[in-house]
Amino acid sequence: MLTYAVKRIGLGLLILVFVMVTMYAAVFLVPGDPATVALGPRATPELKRLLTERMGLDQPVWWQIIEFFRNALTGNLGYDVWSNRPVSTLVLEALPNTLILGTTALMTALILGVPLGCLAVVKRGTLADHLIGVLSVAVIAVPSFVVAIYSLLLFAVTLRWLPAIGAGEAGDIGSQVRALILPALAIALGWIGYISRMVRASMMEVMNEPHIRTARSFGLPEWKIVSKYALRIAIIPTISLVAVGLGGILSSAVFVEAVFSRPGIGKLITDAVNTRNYPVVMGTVLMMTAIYVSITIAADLLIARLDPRVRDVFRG
Amino acid sequence: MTASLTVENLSVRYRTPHGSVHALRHVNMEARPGEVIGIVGESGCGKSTLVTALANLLPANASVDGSIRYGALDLTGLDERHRRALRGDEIALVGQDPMTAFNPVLTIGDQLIDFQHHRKDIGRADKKNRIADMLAKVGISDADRRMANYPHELSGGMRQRVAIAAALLTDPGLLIADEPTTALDVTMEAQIIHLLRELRREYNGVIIVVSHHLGVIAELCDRVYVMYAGEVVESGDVDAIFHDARHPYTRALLACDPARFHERLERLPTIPGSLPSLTQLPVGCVYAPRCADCFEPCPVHPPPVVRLSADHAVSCHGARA
Amino acid sequence: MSSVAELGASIPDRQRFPRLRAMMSDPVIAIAVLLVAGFFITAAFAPWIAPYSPTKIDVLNKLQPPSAAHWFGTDHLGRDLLSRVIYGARTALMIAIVSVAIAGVIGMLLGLIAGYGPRWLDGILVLTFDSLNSLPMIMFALAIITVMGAGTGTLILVIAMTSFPSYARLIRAQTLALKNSDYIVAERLLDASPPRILFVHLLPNVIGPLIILLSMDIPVVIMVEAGLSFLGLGVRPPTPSWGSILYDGYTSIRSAPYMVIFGGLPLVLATLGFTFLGEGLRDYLDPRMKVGRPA
Repeated sequence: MLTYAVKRIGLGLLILVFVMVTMYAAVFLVPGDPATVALGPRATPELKRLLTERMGLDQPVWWQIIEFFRNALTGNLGYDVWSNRPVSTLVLEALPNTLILGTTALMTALILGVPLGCLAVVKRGTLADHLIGVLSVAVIAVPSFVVAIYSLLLFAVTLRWLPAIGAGEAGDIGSQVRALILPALAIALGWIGYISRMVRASMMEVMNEPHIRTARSFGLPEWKIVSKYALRIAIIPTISLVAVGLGGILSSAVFVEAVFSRPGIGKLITDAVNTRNYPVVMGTVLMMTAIYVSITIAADLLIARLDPRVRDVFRG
Repeated sequence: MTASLTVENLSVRYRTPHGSVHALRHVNMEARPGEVIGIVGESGCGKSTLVTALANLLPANASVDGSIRYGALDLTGLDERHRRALRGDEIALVGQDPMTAFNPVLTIGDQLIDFQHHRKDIGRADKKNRIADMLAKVGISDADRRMANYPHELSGGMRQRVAIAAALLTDPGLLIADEPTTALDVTMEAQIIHLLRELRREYNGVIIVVSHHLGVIAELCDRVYVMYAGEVVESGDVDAIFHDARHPYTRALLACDPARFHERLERLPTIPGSLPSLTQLPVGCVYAPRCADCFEPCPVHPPPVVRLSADHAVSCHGARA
Repeated sequence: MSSVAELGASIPDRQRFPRLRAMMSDPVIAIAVLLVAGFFITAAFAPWIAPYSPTKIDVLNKLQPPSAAHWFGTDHLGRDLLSRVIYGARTALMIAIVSVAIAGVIGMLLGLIAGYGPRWLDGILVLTFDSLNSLPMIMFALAIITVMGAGTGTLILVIAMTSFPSYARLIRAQTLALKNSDYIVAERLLDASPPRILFVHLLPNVIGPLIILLSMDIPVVIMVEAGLSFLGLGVRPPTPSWGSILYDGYTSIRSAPYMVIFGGLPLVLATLGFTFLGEGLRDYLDPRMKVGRPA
């Protein structure tokens, strides 16, 4: 288990380095330097020189990369081109909003998706099963930002039940929760369908295994066979797929945060991209990639814990 | 409860996209409490379907004719709720493959506790004690450690002992062992046979042992049913079957059993031909196409059931003479 | 019960064609086929179908609600929304097909090289595929857009860059599976050149699943195009795109809600159509492939 964890974390770090090196390489393959890109063609040479110095662009590329990683390790991700605030501060301010949004969406999707998948298995072949199947695919297909816009129009603009923008007042839990509902549901909707399909598919495979026949031959009730004997196994591939798909939740969050003007990572980075605020983009990408990669590793370790067979493979 | 089992004229058909498969045809069988019944035949002869029917586990595309009476109950007429109430209470099944019979992500103890779910009268601790006693009875020491183990941490033979313990924990009136030793190696097989022989001394329900292995049947059973292509072709006392077999198929089967060869043979004997298609059965005797003693009526008329003694019956035209 | 399975296998194969017919008789899939066909026709014949030019500005008639003259109303610059939606289909389809084709070709070539080439090269390529695959794609995409500037070309590059690794993995796996099959070994013994083996013998046998995967990715690409255009990071104005229509509608959602409604509807219908069609095709061609993820 320990060697397995070490291996996974090593691979994760390798991926991080790979991303940043690729991104730096991309920057220098593109004509024009980031300072000009950020300032636009009409900037004075004086201003450009200042920014070039501040971003460290007068140094050689390899030195910049090493510098970037050295700074990143000490928590320094560079400075906002415009406000000169540290990128790490900006990220840390925005991060909670995105994490709360993503976690709420994922939890909602699990709480609704897993039972729906189980229901489809218990009622397999019936109308309810087909209905769940078709609806699942439908909600997977609909883009989350369109769901966000439509729900904004319906619940915030027309019905005025819930707030249209922001993340709620600081310190006011009630308003924060109300600001969370629509964005979280917009992201969760597709995932409810996805998770219910995954659970159903892997459960149907498990239901044909001999140990399920054993449980049946002992007369265990069908719901218990599904919810305990089959789900414990079927949930394992579902967890790894959810973990792999977390990047999807993150990208949905980028769009949905833009729709609801929710001050999270998604809004931070899209605004930064739009203003060519290069250090903010780089810093945010590094942070988010790190978070994403560590969540994936955590999920792999969780799977190793849940499945005693995998656990033993990595023991010792 | 101990009761007799009477199977009368049982037929099972599976509806498939390619037509009906007559997996079982007009099977008759009887078992009294305390008896061990053997069912023998090659792969695809309907043994598994018979076991599945007895354990009330037939899939939804199966249609059943005839009756399976257990005591006063007709198992074929029960609704799903009653069937489930019988399974794991009156009727217990020991599966073929101990490697896959248990849920891999739950501990042995957890599963054995769940399997006693019909015992609403006792608590978790009592169930655990019962498990410990039963594991000791099937020859597993340090029961506490074993209960905390996951199935993959046990050897195949040990898992089959646990499977037998699980079945016995439910105090069944009817215990079905479906190929209980097929997946085990020879030493394990001998141990499991020994265990089953021990158990039958203090057990007074019906035991049904299904096997294609004649040795297992000879060691364990009182009476034997020989099946071929979904039909019982010969039935009788274990001695009658092994020493006075009358059906050509039974005799061929015995001749192919390596344990019975007295000298080294150049070639292993086989039965030429293969099982008939269960969607398009021959008109006459199902065994006629492979039978060495086939004569005029065989391919045309279904064979009669000839009673040779109170306990020995054979379906064969040749036995009438 | 093994006999039941054996019987199934011995029945002559007469189910391929009825399966296709069964697929089409499924009402959900029939509707999906209609939606996709409608999308293609709209995209192909946009200049003939659209009542107005999609870029003709008419400020006097801005933000008009739906009427007989403008069925979907007009946008904040007075452009006919219906015409923009119709041309938006063209943009979406063009970008989807070009980027999926580019990603497909890159993925195919790298997959063949990884699967057939030397061990060390395979190792490097697989590490690259896995690294790219284990990134949060949107972050990667946004980084590329920052560097290159938004626009149709960047959009196609971003989509191709982020989707080729999964195609390459698929082709690699298929190639590895076939590499040591008898007929490929026979070709090698006959001194066939590696390109000949790869393109004449391996490719036709590995390309089927790739085509299914590519077709299932088309709705995802349509969504990504619309999403990035919505953020102002995709197609540049005034090119009509469903995403930018949604953005224009979003900024005037209180005064002209019909804009987001009509801007989102074709996007929803197209992705639904493609997704259900892809599911149906997958079940028909290869029931064991995985299901798609929400985007």
